[in-house]
Amino acid sequence: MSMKAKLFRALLVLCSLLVMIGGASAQDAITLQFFYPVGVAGPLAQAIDSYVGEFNATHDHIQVEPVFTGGYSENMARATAAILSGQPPDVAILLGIDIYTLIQLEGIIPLDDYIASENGLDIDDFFDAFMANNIADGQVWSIPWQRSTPILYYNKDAFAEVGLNPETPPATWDELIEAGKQLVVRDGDNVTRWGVEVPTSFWIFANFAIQAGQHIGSLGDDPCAVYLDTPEAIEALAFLRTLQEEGIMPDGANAWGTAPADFIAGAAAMIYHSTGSLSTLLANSPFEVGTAFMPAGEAGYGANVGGGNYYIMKDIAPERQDAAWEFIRWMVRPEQIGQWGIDSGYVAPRNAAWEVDPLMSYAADTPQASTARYQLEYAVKEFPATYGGQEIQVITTQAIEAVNTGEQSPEEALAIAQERANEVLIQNGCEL
Amino acid sequence: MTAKRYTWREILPILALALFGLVWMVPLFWTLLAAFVPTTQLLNGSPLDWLQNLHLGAFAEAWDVAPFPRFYLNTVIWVFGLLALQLVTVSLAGFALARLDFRGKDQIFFLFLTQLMVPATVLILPNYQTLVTLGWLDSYQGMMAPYIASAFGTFLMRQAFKQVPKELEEAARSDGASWLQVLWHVFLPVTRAPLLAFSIVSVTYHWNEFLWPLLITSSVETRPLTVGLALLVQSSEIGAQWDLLSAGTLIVAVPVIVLLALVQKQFTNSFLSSGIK
Amino acid sequence: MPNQLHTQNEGVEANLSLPRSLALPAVLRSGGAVAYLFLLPSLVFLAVFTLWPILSVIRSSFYARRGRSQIFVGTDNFERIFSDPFSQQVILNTLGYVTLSLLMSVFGGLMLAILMNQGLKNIGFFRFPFMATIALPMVSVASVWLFMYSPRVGLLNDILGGLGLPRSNWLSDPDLALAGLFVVYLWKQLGYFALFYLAALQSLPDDVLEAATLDGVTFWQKLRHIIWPLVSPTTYFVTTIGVLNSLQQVDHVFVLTQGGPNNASSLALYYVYEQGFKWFNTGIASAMTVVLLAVLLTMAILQFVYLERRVHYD
Repeated sequence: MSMKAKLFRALLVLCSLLVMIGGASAQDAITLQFFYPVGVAGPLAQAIDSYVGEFNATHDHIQVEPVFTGGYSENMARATAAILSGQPPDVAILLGIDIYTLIQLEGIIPLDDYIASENGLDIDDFFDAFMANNIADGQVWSIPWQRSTPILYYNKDAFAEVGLNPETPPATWDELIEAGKQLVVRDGDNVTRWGVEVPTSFWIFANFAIQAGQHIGSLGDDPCAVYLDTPEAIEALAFLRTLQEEGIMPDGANAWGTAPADFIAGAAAMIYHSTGSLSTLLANSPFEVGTAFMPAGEAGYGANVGGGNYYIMKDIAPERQDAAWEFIRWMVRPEQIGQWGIDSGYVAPRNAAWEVDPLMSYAADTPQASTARYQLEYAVKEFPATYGGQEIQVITTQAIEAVNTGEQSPEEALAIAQERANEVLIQNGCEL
Repeated sequence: MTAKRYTWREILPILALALFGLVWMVPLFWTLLAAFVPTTQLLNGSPLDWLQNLHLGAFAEAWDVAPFPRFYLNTVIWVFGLLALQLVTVSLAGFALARLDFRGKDQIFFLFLTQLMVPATVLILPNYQTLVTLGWLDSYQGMMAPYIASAFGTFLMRQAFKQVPKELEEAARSDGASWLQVLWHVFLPVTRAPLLAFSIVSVTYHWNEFLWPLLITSSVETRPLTVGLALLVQSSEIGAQWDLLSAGTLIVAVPVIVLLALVQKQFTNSFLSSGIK
Repeated sequence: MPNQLHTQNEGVEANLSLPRSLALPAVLRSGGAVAYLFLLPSLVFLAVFTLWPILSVIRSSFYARRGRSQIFVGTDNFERIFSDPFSQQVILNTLGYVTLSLLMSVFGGLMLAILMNQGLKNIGFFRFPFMATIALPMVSVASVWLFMYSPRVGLLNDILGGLGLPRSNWLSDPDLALAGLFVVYLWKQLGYFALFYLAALQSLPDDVLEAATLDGVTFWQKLRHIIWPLVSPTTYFVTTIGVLNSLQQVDHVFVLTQGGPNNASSLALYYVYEQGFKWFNTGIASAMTVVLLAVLLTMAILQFVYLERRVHYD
C-alpha cells in the first residue's frame, strides 16, 4: 500500500470517528435556545438562570441555554430579527401584546395540541385575565409566566405623619387628589415630597382609560383596534395632567425607573408601578410599604394586565418544539411558578400556585403580594395587542409625554396619536 | 539651575485649568461614591453615614448578576482579534499604495476614501443584512467584519511607508528578497510608531463600541462589556440600584482609565495621529 | 528578471522623471501583481462592507416590509420621512446637534487648548481629566450621567438647589433633553478636540505668541488676529471630524432618553435604529440612511472644492 493510500485510510477512519462522536452527542441532548427579558430589577435574571440550571440538572435529553436579551422591547426586537433571519430561538418569553405581530411574522405555533396531549396542561387553572392576550383565532399561542398589573404603592409612614389612616389608601380618583395634596411637602419653592408619581407610560395610562369607562385597546380578538381619541381616554389623560396642575405630581415626563427610586428615597409618597417591583420596594424602603388597587374612576376599578408569556417558535424541528413544551410545562408547575412569584413579585398566574407552598405561606405572611391577584377581577386584555404593537406603544407614550410636559392638550395629543396609530395599522394591512 | 519665578499671569491659567479639571471629574467622583455607598444610604443618609457604610457589596453583586469575566474575554477577543487582522490588511494595503505601481491605483485610492467618508456606523442596517446572509450573526467575525479593512489605518501606514528611504528597500530587493520580506524585515521595523498609534486608536474605539455589537450579539458568549453594561442598566429599570449600576460602570471603565494613566503621552499622540487624513 | 526590471524602472523614473506614458504599462511591472495581492484582503472587505451596503441600502429604501415579504413602494418612504412631523423633528434635532457640536469642537476645543498651553507646559496631570473622558466608553459615560440627571436623587439638581438655582427634570423636559444629551457628548469629547488645537499651538514658534503678549494687546485681539488665522488648518480638520463624530452619536440616546420625551431628543441614527431594528420598518430606516449618506457626500464634495481652492489660491 502506498503512503498516499495509507494516509487516505487513516483520514477516513478519523472522519468516521468524528461523525460518530458528533452523531452520538447530537442524539444525547437537544440544546434549546431560550430568550428572556426582565422587565424589572436585575437579580431576577439570576432567578431564571437558577431555575434553568435546575431543569438542566434533572433532564438528560434537554439542555436549555438561557439568553438574557435586555428589556421587553429589546427582547422582542431580538426575537423578530432572529425570526426574519430564519434562525429563531426555540422558546422565548415575549409580551402578550406581541402575539399578532408574531403570528403575522409566522414566527410562532399554536399550543392547543400540546395542551390537550397526554403531557398537557390544565389551561383553565390560569386566571382568565392573564389568558386574554394569549388567545387569537380561537387558539392558545402562549403560556403565562411573568404576569402583572400595576398597583398603587404607598408610604404608610408618610400617611401616618400627615394624619391619614395608613390602612385606608385612596380608593377613588378624588380621594387620590385629596390624599396627594396632604402628602406633598414643600421647602420654599422646592417640593421635597410629591403626593403621587405616575410613570409616563402607555401601560399605566391604559388603566386610567379603563377606569374612566373605555379601554384604549380591543377587549376581543381584533388586531386592528386602537381607541385613543375617545372621550374617556381624553378624560383619563386630562386627569393625569390635573395631578400635575394641582402640584401633587412632578411636572414633565416621569421615567419608568425614576418612580421606584423616588418612592424608596421618600421623594414620592405614592407611586403607580408594576407588581413586579414589589420585592425590590419591600426590601429597600426604610418605611412600611402599603399596596392597594389603583383608585377607581367614574367606571369603577380597572386594570390593564401585562407581562411576558412563553412562546414556542415555528421554524424549528418538531422534536425541538416538543422539548420546548416540556421545558415550559416544568417551569409553570404550581410550586415553581409560585417560587417565581415570590422571587420577583409577579403575580403567579394560576390558581394552583396559590394553594401550595411556597407561595401559600408567603402570601399569608406578606399580604401585599395578594393585592394584584384580587385586582384581577377588574383586569382586562392588555393594550396594544395589535399589528405593529411595539410602534403603537411608543406612539401612545409620546402622546402622554406631550401632555405631561404641557406641550399639547389631551385632545390634540390623542388625536395625533390615533392618526399615527392608524397609519401603522394600515401599513400592516389593516383596513380601517 | 536657578528656580524660575512664576508670575500671576502664568499661575492663574494653571489654577483655572486645575479647577476646571476638578469640576470635570465630579461625575466620576460621584460614580465612585455611588458604587461604594449602599443606595439607600446615599439617598437618605448624610455624608457621615456614607463614610460609615462604605462597602464592596455592589461590586460583588454586579459581578454576580452579569458575567463580567466572560464579557471581558469577549471584548478582548473581538478587539484584539480585529486589531491583528487590521494590522495585516493595513500594512499590506498601505505598502502597496505607498511603494508599488499598478494600474487602477486612483480608483482603488478612491474606494478607500469612500470608507473614510461613510463611517460603518451609518451602514448598520445593510451590513446587518449582509451578516444575516453570511450567517455571521452572534459571532466575533460578524462584529469585526465591517472594520477589517481600515481606510484610516491604510492611509496612516501609506504615509509612514512613503518616508522610508528608498535605499533601504533597494538594498533588500537586490539581495533577492520578495516584497513580503521587504515589508516584514525593512519597513515594519521602522514604522513601529504609526503601527502603535493605529493600534491605540483602534483598540480604544472598538473597546468602547456599543451599537454594532448590541445588534450583532445575542448571547453571553459573544457580548462585549459595553453591551453587558447596557443590559445591566436596562435590567435595573427599577432604577433604585444605583450602587449596582455604578459598580458596573466602574468595572467597564477602570481598565481604560488605568491604561490611560500609564501611557497618557503615547495615547495623546495616537489620537493626534487620527487627525491624518 | 522581473525584479531587476522593476528596480531599474524605478531608478529611471526617479532619475529622469520620465512622463508616465513613456514608462512600461504598470501591470507589466512586477509590483503590479504583488500590489493587487497585497490589496486583495482590504478590497474584499471594502467591497462587501462599504460599497455593497451603500448600493443595497439605496435599493431597499424603495421597499416596505409586510410580514416576511418586501413590497416595492417607490418613493413613499422618502415622502413619509419628509412629511411626517416626527421624522422632520429628528432631522432638525440632528442638524441642531451637529451645529452645536461643531461650535463646541471649534471654540470650546480652542479655548481649552489655550488654557492647557499656558504656563507650565506638558504637565499631563492637568490634562488627565479631559483625556480620561475620551477613553471611556460612551455607554459608561451615559450611565454616569443617568445618575447625575436623575430629577430628585441626582447630583446635578442637588448642586443647582444648593446654589439657589431652579431644579429641572433634565431628561424629561422636551426643551432640555437634547441639550442634556449634548452636555454628555461635550463632557466626553471636548478634550479630544482640544488635543488637536493643543498640538497646533505647540507647533507655533514661541516668539509669535510671546511677542504679541508683550505688545500689550488684549487676549481677544490676540485670539482673533494671531491665533485664529494660524490654527485655521486645524479648524478645518476639527470641523470635518466634528461633523462625522457627532453624526455617529447614538449610544447616549439609547441609555439616557430613548429619543424622548415625545421624540424631543431623537437623532437620525437613533431613528434608523428604532425604525430598522425595533420596529423592522426597514424601508423607512433605509431611506433615512440614504439621507445621511447624501449629507456625507455633500460634505465630501464641499471639502474637495475647498481643497481645490486652497491649491489654486494659496
